Amino acid sequence: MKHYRIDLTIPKLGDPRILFLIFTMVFLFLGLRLPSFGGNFFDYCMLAGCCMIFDFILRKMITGEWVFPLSGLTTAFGIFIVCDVIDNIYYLPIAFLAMGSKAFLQIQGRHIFNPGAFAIVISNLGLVHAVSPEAILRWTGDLKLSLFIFLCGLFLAIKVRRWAVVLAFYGVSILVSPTLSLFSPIPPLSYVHNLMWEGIVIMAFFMLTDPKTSPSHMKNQLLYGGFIAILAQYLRFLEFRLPEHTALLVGCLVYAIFRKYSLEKDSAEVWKIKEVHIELF
Amino acid sequence: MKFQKSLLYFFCAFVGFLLFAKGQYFPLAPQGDSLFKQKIVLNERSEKANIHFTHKNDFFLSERFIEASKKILPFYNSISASVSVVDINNDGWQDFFVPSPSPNSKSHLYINQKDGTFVEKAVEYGLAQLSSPVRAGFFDCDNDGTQEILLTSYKCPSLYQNRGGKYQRIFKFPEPCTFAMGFNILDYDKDGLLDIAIAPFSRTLPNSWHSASNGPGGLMLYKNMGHCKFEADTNHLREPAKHYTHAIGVADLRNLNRQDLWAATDFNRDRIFFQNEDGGYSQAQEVLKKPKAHNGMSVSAAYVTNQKYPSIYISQVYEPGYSIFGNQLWTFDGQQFVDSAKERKINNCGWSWGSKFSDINNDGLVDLVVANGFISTTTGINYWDKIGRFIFASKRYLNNPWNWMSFEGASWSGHQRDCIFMNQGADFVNIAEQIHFDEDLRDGRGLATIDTLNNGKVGFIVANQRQKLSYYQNETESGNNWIGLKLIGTTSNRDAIGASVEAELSNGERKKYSHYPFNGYSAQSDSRIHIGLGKNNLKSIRVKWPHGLNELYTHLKMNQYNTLIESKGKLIETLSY
Repeated sequence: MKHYRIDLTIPKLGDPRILFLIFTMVFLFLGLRLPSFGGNFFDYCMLAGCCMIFDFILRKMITGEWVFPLSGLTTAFGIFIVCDVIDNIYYLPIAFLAMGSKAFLQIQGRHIFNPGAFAIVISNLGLVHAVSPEAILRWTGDLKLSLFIFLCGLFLAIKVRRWAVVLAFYGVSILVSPTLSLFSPIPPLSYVHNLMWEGIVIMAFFMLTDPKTSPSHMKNQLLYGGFIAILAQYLRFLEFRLPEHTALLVGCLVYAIFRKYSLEKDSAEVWKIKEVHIELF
Repeated sequence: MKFQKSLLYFFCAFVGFLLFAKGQYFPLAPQGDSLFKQKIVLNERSEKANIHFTHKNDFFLSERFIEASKKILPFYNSISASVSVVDINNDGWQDFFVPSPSPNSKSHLYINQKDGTFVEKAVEYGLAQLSSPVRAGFFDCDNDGTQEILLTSYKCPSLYQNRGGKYQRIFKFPEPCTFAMGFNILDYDKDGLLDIAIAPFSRTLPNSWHSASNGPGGLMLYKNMGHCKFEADTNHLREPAKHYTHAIGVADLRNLNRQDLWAATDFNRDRIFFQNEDGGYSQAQEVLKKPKAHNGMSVSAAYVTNQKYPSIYISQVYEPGYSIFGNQLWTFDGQQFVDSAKERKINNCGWSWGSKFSDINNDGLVDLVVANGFISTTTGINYWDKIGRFIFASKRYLNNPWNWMSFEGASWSGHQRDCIFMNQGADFVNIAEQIHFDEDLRDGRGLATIDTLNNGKVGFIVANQRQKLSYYQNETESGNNWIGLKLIGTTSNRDAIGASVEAELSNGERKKYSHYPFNGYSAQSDSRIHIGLGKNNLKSIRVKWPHGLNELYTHLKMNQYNTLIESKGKLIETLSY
């Protein structure tokens, strides 16, 4: 009789993605408990299911390995608390955008874009009749909540050793915004309030710090965070939709190109994983 | 090479899905005859009908405002256009009143000349110069056969009565009170006297787009104590929460012979109040299945198909990329309300305001007309582009006008075409573009039905914000039968508000209607019930009068209006209340 065995790679408990997962689960709970949120847990399961299936299959196609689709699960959280869809069927292209970007859009074996940010930006700009970033407005707006997310995010940023990215992003944003206020009718405090808003805090701490798409060296982290901050503020000045997330995508691309041609070796190895073998029969 | 190949796969898969989704969810609008078989003719006839009214609302002038609010003055002056259809002189022909709130402007009262034209007579009736009027509701609060007026304004609402040919104020609602667009007239305690449900909508800015908690107040009931004296009734309904309410709809939502209330709420979820057995109201919790749109503007109710429960149409904001859910059609399924607007293709009508169900071609299926457009300018600047700069912030930030972007002549969902959704049974089709409806793309608000010529061809009046009024004469030659009913209550309220009518057709079909002419947004429609019969004949009409009588009327004349007087029909049963 023939024996079948699956070699599966799963994350260890110390893997920062587990922490990410816990935090985003809390945020999802905070959203779902509000009547204004609209969506329900079933909707999330639809999106998470799509993301995990795409992650699982595409990973096998590209690398030949069976890997537990933790990325799909965590990416789904990020997208779900930000995006509204007119019909759950739109979770399919969104999930494909996220996990497909991870599987296909790679340079030197590493994906270029943060999958969640990629899916959010492309779907919101390309599927304007079906997708909107309104979901995040449904459960945010409270300064106490913002502070809570900020602290969770800070803990995660330290854990993945990307706190300098966030520091640079916030520092440069605060420096640049008053200058731009001089050239636009935007109220001066608008930029600062915007930086404190939960949507930006989540973007800064949970997407900007993705170890796979951001630099590991301190100097590069500062440059990366600063570049994204300047670009985001400029896009905001130009009334561009989703300026921070778009700036993040551009930042990811610039960094990937820099990494390809740079002599400096940047490491992204912060995941903690282990191999398990499942004997089917 | 591998990267390019991957990119190609990725791109192809995504585009493939988009094409699939476009076919499935955004079918291209069919053109010409394939769109809607029958020729519908709704012509804008305001000039021909001698109607010359331009709504003026500069109530909020820049000199009265603090510096911070000046930059968003168009927003403050954006919601006050209303229209009220009424037979003010009891001649059997429908007249209408349009208030204008600007200090130096004149409200107009158009008297029907029975030939398709009107004569303006607001001065004669004492209604030309009112104090910042925004909405009028004509109803008979003392059952004497003449119409009193509930007039809301930027100050306290007042009640006017016709005394010697001119209207005079007889009652002013006590402080604290505020600007209100949302009110409805009903007899919730069924004592035969019409009461008022009213909810304020203030000029403050919301502290959230989806869960605002800083509105001017909740829904209130005013009980008619007789002789048109009203008192706040907190025994039947008490809502301490602070909401922004645009409209209040009344309907028997659960088919229990009750008068349930639906409050179309901006910046939050709609509130629903079920009437209890004792006549009091309780707020229904969690009865809407997945309500995602939170900009309720108007409430209209109708039996869209031959269903047990009425459907409730809520107009909302639809803007691609921002607010994608659009209008809703809620129907009770025995436990919850389920939205079927998308399936019926009536969810997308821009930034929607007034809505009204009416059978335009008398085919027996109620059609739907929706007014839309928020603020139109010609600068080419789009306020939606600016909004992203300040809405993504904390609640404290949002309700401060300092933090809003200046309008600087921007349009905000402006230049939109009103919608005419023709009922095809399973779904609707929007024929507005096909028949050149709302060619000027005005900013519609209140929308009322009117059968000007008493010929069963129901037309529409759209009160446009700070623009010319639109008057649409229905000139459709359908060849279908219809029947019109004017109900007169005797033990019930004289206007028979709250009555429900069931028409039995020769083919055995039954059509249901409820009489709540104040449903919609900032409008009062033709007070008569109009029922399209298609090619069928009428067998009988069954009327459930508000006070409980259930009567059958036979031998009514088709293709004309019939007057039905309570207790003059054949009594079937008396419903206990």
